[in-house]
Amino acid sequence: MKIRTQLIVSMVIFGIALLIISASFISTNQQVDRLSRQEELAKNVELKANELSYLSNDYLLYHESPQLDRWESKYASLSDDVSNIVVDGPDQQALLDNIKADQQRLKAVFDDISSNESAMLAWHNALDPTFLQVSWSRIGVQTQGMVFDASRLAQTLRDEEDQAKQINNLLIVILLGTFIAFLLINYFLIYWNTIRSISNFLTETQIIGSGNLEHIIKERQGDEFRELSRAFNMMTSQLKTVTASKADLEKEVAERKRVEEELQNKHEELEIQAEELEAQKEELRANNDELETQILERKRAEEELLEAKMRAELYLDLMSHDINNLHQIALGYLELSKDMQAEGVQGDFLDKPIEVLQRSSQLIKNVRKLQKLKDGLFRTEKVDVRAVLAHVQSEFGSVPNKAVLMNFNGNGHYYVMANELLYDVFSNLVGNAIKHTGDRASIVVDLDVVKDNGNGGRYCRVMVEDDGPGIPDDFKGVIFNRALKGTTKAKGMGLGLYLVKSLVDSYGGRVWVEDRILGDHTKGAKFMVMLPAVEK
Amino acid sequence: MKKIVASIAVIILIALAGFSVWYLTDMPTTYSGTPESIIVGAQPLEIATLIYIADDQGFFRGNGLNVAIKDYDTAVNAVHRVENGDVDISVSTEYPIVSEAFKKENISMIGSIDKYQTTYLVSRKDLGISNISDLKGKKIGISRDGIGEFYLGRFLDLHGMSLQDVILVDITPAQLMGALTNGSIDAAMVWSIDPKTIEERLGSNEVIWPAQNEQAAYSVMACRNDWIAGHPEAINRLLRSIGQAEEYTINNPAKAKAIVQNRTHSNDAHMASIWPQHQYSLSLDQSLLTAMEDEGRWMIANNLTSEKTLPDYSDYIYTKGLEAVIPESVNIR
Repeated sequence: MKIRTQLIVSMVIFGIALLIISASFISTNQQVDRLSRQEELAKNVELKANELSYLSNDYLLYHESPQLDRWESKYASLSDDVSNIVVDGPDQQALLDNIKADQQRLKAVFDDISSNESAMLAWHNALDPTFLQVSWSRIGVQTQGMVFDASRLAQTLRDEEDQAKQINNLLIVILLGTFIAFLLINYFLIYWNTIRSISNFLTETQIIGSGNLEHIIKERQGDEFRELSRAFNMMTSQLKTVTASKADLEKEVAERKRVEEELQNKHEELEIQAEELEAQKEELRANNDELETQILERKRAEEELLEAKMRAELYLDLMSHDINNLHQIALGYLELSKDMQAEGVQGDFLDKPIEVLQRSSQLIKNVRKLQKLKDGLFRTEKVDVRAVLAHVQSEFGSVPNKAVLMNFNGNGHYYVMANELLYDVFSNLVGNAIKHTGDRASIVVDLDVVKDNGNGGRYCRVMVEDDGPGIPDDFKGVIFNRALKGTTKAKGMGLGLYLVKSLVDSYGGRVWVEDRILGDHTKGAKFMVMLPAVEK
Repeated sequence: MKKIVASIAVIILIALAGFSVWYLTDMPTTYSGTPESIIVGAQPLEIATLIYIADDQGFFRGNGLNVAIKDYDTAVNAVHRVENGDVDISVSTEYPIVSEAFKKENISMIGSIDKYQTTYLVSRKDLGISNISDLKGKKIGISRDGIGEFYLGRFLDLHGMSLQDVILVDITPAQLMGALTNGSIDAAMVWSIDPKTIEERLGSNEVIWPAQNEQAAYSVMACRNDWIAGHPEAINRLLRSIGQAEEYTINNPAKAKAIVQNRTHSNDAHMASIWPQHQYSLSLDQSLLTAMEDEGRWMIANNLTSEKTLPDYSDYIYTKGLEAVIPESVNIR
């Protein structure tokens, strides 16, 4: 049986016992009270009967009305007491019946005495001892009978009351005994078993607690401890599983820890290596930078070497081809001039060699200028483009049938950062236009300042237009590089445009050629020069 | 195992403690103050039974009283000793108090401790007395002023005579039977003597009549009013002791009888005869007053007092003491 059930059953039994005992105690107590009241009534009857004896005798002896009143009053009181007595057993009932009978007889005797006034008077006058003795005796018999019976009744009631009190005491003892029994029964049946079960349970759990998870707690009784033992065994079983898993986990954790430590060591090694690598990398980077510098220097040196070689080839080409051609032309004209000295036409043939030699001289000058430019011997400064163009116009203004028209748009300043060679740029372009146009031609030079859409900067734009044969599209891209590229097609063209491009490049500007009439190169060419404008 | 024994012991101790508390609350309390001395004067007869038992059982001591009992040859003498201060409390019948009330003595009854009918009128046939009427002109030995005088007068009244028809001889109770035996008196009013003893003393000559006329005598304790006023607590403790003696007598009649027998130097036969005629009970009943009124009226009628009206005998009863101790024993309305 479960402990809870045991407790409930024991408490219910104890409660019922307590209820019964309490009810009995209350009932007995009420009985004691009732008996006490009845005993008091019986005693009163005894006392009043005794009084009635005296009062009867007094009246019998003296026959006075106050005695009669007192007697009747006392008798009425006694009658009330007698009528209020309620008894239980037959013995008490017999006594009560005797009292009532004596009471009735006493009344009868007294009535006889009071009604026989003449006899009383006779006694007073002449004594009637017989009547007196008989009446006295009858009164005595009835009153003493009542006193005796009332006394006995009171005694029996008192005995009964005492018994009831004893029962009450017994009930108290039983109540105490029941309480002790309840405690003992509870102790032995519940607490002792419970304590014993707890003790056993404690012992067995200590075994498990010491680490022996294989231990199984015995299931002894059908109470809560059986369930507890079962639950504990289940818990132990689960704990065992968990512990096994835990062991695996611990093993795995240890392994991971070991690996982690190794990784850490490796990481540290790698960090050291990385630091070393970083140092090496830094060293390599430094070496690389140095190498790149060397490579750039070498490349530049190679470019410079190539440029120098090309320049040398150019000069060689100029020397071997252009200057040689010029010299052959000048030699031819001079030989013709020797042959025609006689014919009188020698003058024309001398002018030609002179011109050719001038061109050759100009070519040599240009080469010198280019060389100076490459060597950086010219310093840049603010130069007024309009003044330079005006100088060019004045130089070429004397060429017959060749008009050079200058259009200066606006009254602004047209300053660029350049040097004295800027004149060569425009004189080459104007000179070429004059050279390659027909007998009568106009060369138009426009000057203005424009904003470049690409970078937003202000540029002085110079356009040189002619109505010559123009430049085919195939040549537009290479005419400025002819000498350096060494293309054969450009041979014999001189160094003018090459010098122009070299100078414009050195000024930070650009130069290109377009058709004067867009899409028809035969209508003439338009050379465009854009130089960064500066403030005055 | 030790725990079990200890637990049982604790439970038993708790139970015993509870029982003891319950039992002790029902036990009479023992007085712990300074004992007070009281002198009680009494004729050494059964009428002082409760005094003797209280003394013998230590109820007086238990209530802080040091009671000395003085024996007197008559109860009337004991009452007189109270009046002159020789004793504090007298034990007598109510009749001396009735007489003292006429004298307006400073005295009160504090309780009645016995009711009895043990008074007989005895005589000898060889003295010519066979019928009651033969008493006329005869010498009747009696302890004067005692209740025997009243019973004799009432007895004679009921039989057509009066005290004036006989010759009263005042003799102490101890000398009565001797006087009757040697013929110095013709009859005697005796009490506390069983008829068998009388028969043994007088042989076949004996003539014996119950002389109390169905009227019980009361044994009362009386003391001076000034003493009452000065010792109310002592009276309460005295009454409590008497109440305990009454309980003892009811619960242990044989032992009580033995105590009294030892105290009065009586034999078994005497005790067996006398004991049932006594009702040992501490009380103050209305019937006591009625009896006293009856006796007072008789005294007036027989010119035994110069007073012509009855005093209020309730003025000679001190009820506060008994009311304080055993209130249910006071039945005076």
